[in-house]
Amino acid sequence: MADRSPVTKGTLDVIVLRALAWGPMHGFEIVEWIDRTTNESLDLTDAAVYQALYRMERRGLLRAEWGTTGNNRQARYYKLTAAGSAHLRDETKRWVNYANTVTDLLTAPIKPQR
Amino acid sequence: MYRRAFRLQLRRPDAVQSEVDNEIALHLELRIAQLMETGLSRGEAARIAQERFGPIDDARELLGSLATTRETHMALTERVDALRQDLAHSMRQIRRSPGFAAAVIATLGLGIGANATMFGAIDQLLLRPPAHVADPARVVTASMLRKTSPGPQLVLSFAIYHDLRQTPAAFETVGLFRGASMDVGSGVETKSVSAALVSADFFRALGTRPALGRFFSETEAGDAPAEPVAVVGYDYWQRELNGDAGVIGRQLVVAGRPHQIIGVAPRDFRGLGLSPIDIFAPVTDGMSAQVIAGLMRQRQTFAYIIVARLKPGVSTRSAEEEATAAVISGYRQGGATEKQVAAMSPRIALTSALPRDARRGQPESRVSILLGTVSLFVLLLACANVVNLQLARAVRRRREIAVRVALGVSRSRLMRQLLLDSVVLAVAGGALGVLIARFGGAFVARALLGASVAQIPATDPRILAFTAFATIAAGLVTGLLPSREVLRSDLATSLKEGAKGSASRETRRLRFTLLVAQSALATVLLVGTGIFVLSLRRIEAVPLGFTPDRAAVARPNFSGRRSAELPVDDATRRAQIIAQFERLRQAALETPGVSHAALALTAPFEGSYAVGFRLPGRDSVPVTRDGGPYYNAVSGDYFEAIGARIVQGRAFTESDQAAGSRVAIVNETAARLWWPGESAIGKCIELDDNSPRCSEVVGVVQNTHRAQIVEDEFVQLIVPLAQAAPLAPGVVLFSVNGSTERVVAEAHRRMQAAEPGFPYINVRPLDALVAPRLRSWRLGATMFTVFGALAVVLAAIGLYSVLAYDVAERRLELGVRSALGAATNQLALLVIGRGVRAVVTGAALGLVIAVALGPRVTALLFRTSPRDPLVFATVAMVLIVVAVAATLVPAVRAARVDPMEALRGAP
Repeated sequence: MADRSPVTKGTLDVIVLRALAWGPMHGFEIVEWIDRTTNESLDLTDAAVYQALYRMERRGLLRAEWGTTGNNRQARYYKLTAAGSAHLRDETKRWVNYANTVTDLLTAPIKPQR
Repeated sequence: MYRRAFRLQLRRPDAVQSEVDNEIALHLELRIAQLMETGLSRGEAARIAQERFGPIDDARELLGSLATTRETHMALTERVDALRQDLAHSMRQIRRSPGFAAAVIATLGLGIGANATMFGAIDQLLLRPPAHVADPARVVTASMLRKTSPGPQLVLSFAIYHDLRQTPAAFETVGLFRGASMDVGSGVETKSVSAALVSADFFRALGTRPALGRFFSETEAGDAPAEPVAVVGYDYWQRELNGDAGVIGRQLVVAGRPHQIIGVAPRDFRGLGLSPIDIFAPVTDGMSAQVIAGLMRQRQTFAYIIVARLKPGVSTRSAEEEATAAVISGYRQGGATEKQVAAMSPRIALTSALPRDARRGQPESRVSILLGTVSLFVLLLACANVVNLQLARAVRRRREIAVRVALGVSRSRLMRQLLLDSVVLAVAGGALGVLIARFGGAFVARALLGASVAQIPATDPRILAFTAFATIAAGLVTGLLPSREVLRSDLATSLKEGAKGSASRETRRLRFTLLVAQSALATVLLVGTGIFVLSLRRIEAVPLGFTPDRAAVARPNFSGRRSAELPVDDATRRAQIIAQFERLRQAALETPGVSHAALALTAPFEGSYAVGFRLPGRDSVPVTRDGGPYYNAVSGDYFEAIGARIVQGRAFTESDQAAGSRVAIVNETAARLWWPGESAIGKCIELDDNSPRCSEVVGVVQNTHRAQIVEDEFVQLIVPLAQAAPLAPGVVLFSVNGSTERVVAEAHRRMQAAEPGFPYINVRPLDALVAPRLRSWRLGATMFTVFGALAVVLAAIGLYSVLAYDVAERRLELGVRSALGAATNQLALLVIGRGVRAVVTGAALGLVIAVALGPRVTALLFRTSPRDPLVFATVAMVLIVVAVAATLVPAVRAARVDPMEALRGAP
């Protein structure tokens, strides 16, 4: 908990989309999924996740519908739209490429200058 | 899907906020429950939950506003989506029946195009206020009415301009101007451009600001001539000076003298007229102080248009009264006696510069309004046609519609869809219409207003706005009736009968009515075509007394000033001018295709001169209402050159020299009025020139028209040029055999080469002078022919399509009749009868309307009755022939209906 990484807005969006790749979830479930998956290593308020959800809903990457939880409570369930899935795919690819490049660069053996 | 049912419903903001609150509350509750499971107290769990969530109030506010914009956005998107779906559906409909769509688009395109074209002309002539004129309702032009002359004097003199400037209560500013053509450049580079000679206060009276630089000062365009200056028109600046902002201060050779460019007029500024102006120069340009001083006192040299700006709140009438008083006192100060003033009783009339006032009653305006009305008729006809087509199709679509209704699509939605279908077609038609207006507009502007008029593109915002309006109106009109018709039909029956279903009795009656209306409209337009073509034929056949198609006129420009015919007191200078003209005449005469060439003071349709005279032994001499006698001085071959016939006596000969006995030729009207019942030959006329001696009449020439095709008779006196000192010739006239264009061009080249001293010689066939007078007549006839033909074609298509659908629809009935033994020609007659009945009813109605409307166009016709019986009869026949032709194919189809197939219901 002491060493939490900050999260940029764009990255948070992809993470939330990734959470929803499993199927529709409500807000609390998404937050829980992120915490579980990252071992709570991201510096993130719960409200930030909701902001991301609302923003992406406006952009048409997500759609929300009211539904019922296992405990028979009314909750707002979020679901990926086609545009959201595409966005997730593209962003993931971009992120992986970027990360690979940086990783390669940083881990390449140091050669003496000629 | 939950939201779909409530599509287009925007939720209220507080409802959105409470959703946000619920979501946050649920989150916190779940979190607290989770924490309490780990053994925390409720209070402790709540604290941690809030901490993890972050500042709740901030989050509420932020999420609330995000949700609100999302709702708006989604509502909009859904609306757009719905429209897109409907549009896609409309496009599918079009693709499914391309023939129908093409017919509708072409029909509406022609109708809308005709209207856009005529709107463009009417807008330019009558609606659009003059560009760059501030508050044009307060700008007026002055004209003078005198009891001693028949019509209003539209061009006025300098002295009157000065009188009007003495009216402080009426006018803010009074300016004056005169249109002219001026030569710009020097040597072979010289070009003749359109110019306006203006007073310094001209621009101030109009409230116009320069695009660049400045306009003239009082000294530059006033009593004291300063260094020559000029203002260039915007187009000229762009075209000839590359739109260079550095032109201010540069020199430009105008009328042979270098002028300093001091300003550029604003774009599209055309004064109060329609033609572009390339150069503005001071009205005193090139004049000596002495000449100017003389000009300022001139009361009778009428050459200038006076424009004035009314003071705010001053009525036209009170300004007219004040101006009239000023002019009367001006006449008195100028030395006119009370008796003379009383005889004239001059009155100043003011006309606002708004085009609807300024061009009221002009033939161009009247013709354009008439044609605008006619084009509206064409659009109505086109709409009727499309409604008919739509109705016919609606019958076919009824099953599809019924299915959709059964599926739960609301009627209002369907109505919207059907209207959209026709609006989409109309929009395509409108696009076609813009295309038509692009070419049609250019043609009409040229035909109606002449080539010099500035072109207004069909993409002009005002024209586009009009076209858009006409398009949407046409779309709604043509969609409303058919969609009502479709939606009215009974669901169950429609489903059962399906596409086979026949039109209801009401639909049929509606379609029949539309056919009748179409035929009536077409009849009215055809009658219009007939009488306007007849009128044009008659006016073209008016004998002018000369042959404009076989003669040309050359007018040399004396260093920018238009004419040399003003008195030239210096005898040597006069001899010089005559020698120059003589060399031009020789050059023209040597041109192949020219057999006669002559010099003259002026030519028909080129301007006229009047002269005073007496007949010895008589106190008064009858003249015509039109004034005169009009005067011309000509050399020997004049009458042959213009093709005027000497009806009695002889023409002038080489022996009629200055020293010889004085002779004259009069026209037929003069001979008849002055010496009724006797021969004019040998009679004596005393001309009011320097030496009142007898001029003996040696010949009578047939009446030649002076300035108009339709004009009153007038008296004319013609003398030999040699005996007309101090007047000098102004034009060279020559006959043309063969290709006018080639001969005129060749003569022009030879003349220019023979006299390089003239910067520019203007050579035109006489036809070119007469043609503008025929313009409005020709345009009326041409456009009526176009619209009339369009109307007939539309009506024929309408008739054909309705009957064709009719036959398809009544196959069953026809089959039964056939099976029951009806002869095939009986079946054909059944169909023809229905079509012809509609057309005959419509034609009769149309003829009645034409009779009623007739008097409204009488003023636009030349010696033609708007109720010409021959025209009426021809139109009726044409319509019936067209009706029979249009019904033929459906009739044959009806006759060929196979009873077996029809009864079996096979397609």
